[in-house]
Amino acid sequence: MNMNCTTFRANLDAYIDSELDKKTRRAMEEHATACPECGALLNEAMDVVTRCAELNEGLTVPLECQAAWRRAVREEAEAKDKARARRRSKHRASRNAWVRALSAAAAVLVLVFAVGTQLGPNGLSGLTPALKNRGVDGGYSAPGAAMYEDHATPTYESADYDMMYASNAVTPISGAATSGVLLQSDGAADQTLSTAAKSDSGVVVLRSANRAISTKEFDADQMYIDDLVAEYEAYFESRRVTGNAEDANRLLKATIRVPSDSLDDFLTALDLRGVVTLREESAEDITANYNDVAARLEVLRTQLAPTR
Amino acid sequence: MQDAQTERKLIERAGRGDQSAFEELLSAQEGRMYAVALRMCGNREDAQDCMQEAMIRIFRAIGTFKGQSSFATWVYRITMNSCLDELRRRKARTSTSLDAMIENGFAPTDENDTPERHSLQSEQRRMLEKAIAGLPEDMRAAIVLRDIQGCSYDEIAQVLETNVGTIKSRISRGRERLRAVLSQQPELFGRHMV
Repeated sequence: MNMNCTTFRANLDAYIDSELDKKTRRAMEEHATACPECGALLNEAMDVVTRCAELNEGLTVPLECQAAWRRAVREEAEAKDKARARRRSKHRASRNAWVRALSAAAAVLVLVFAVGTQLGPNGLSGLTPALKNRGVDGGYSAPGAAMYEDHATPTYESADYDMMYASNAVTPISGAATSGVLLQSDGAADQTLSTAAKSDSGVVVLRSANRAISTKEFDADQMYIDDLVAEYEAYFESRRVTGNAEDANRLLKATIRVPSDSLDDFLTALDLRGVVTLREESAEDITANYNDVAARLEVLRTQLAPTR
Repeated sequence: MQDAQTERKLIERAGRGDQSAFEELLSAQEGRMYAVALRMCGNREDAQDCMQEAMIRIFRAIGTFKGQSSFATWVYRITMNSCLDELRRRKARTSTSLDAMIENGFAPTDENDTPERHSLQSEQRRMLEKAIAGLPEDMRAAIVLRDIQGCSYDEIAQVLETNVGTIKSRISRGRERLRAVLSQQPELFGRHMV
């Protein structure tokens, strides 16, 4: 190989990482011997890398750190058990007719806001160009999308798949939340999640999150989402797959509702798959709408009572 | 280090909610998690917080680990994400740049105050750690994983969720920056530095 200073420098890191073939390696070493400047550079580079490799020598995890993470995990496990117990308790309570009525009201709200989120600009506007590129227009030309035009648009290389999803979480009245998913074959998926909950102070907050995730394992990741939905007792509000297994541009788009207690865990688990190219979360105070619907429901119930 | 079979069994048990299995499984990973967190955050306190956060994320998600990558790679990925999240939070909390922190005496190191602290070797080590802490986050992550932790390019690409070409570029530029910084300390690194 014709080695000069330029090619020597270009190959320097590959040499350090033992990525060169024998012939090129020998040429590098011969050049380093013949050229004092490149020889010094090689020594310098090797020196830095060697010193980096030695940094962990004698490094031990401090005892307080070892104890802290174990304590944190145990607390997390206890919190999880308590949350599970609370959910069971809520399920029992939901048998009560009055609670059932409230749940219905909350479900309506969740549905409305889930749709709003899904069609809204903060959810899917960033994905629209990619969908158009694939000829997949899901009708997400959201009103107000212009407000979000400066959002980074995910790039969807044909070899990848992208997923976008949004979630809303509120203090649970209905005990259930919703999310949506759009998945693109060898390419992309969109999700929208929502949950509604009422705090002790009476404030009802709706949280939403969007994700764009790209993967090269469309089928496996689609199954992963199915597993997640089952594990977290969530359900698909809507789900659409475009393209087929031979298509390099498959797309899954879905809306999923997740129990509000599990929303954060659901998001954590979801973010571990594929490459997340967009991550957005928001919260909205829907107390007024909730109270309005609850009041109207109460009026309707009162009107209905004499007819029974 | 656990063998593959033991690790697989522990993952299964931890996935079913067995907390003791989880602790045994992660005990084998805590050293590398702490090393990554320490080099990324630059101090013990934040490293401990990031490691703790990563452990909780892993605990929440262990049931969903399906072996799509090695367990160690998966753990690295979650740890690195916790660190990057912490660095972003740190940026949001204060406008103080890392450069300014370093100027003000910020010195990322794990060493305790020992008599050797002021020895030449310790000083070289401290300067190197400082130089690594001064790298941009993406370069630092690649250098930490490659040159300190000894990960392969493929593994780093999985951890940082990007392609091998980008990783090679970040490593190359990171090493170049380290050489440039350390060459300004000829009394410590004068042997080869030009």
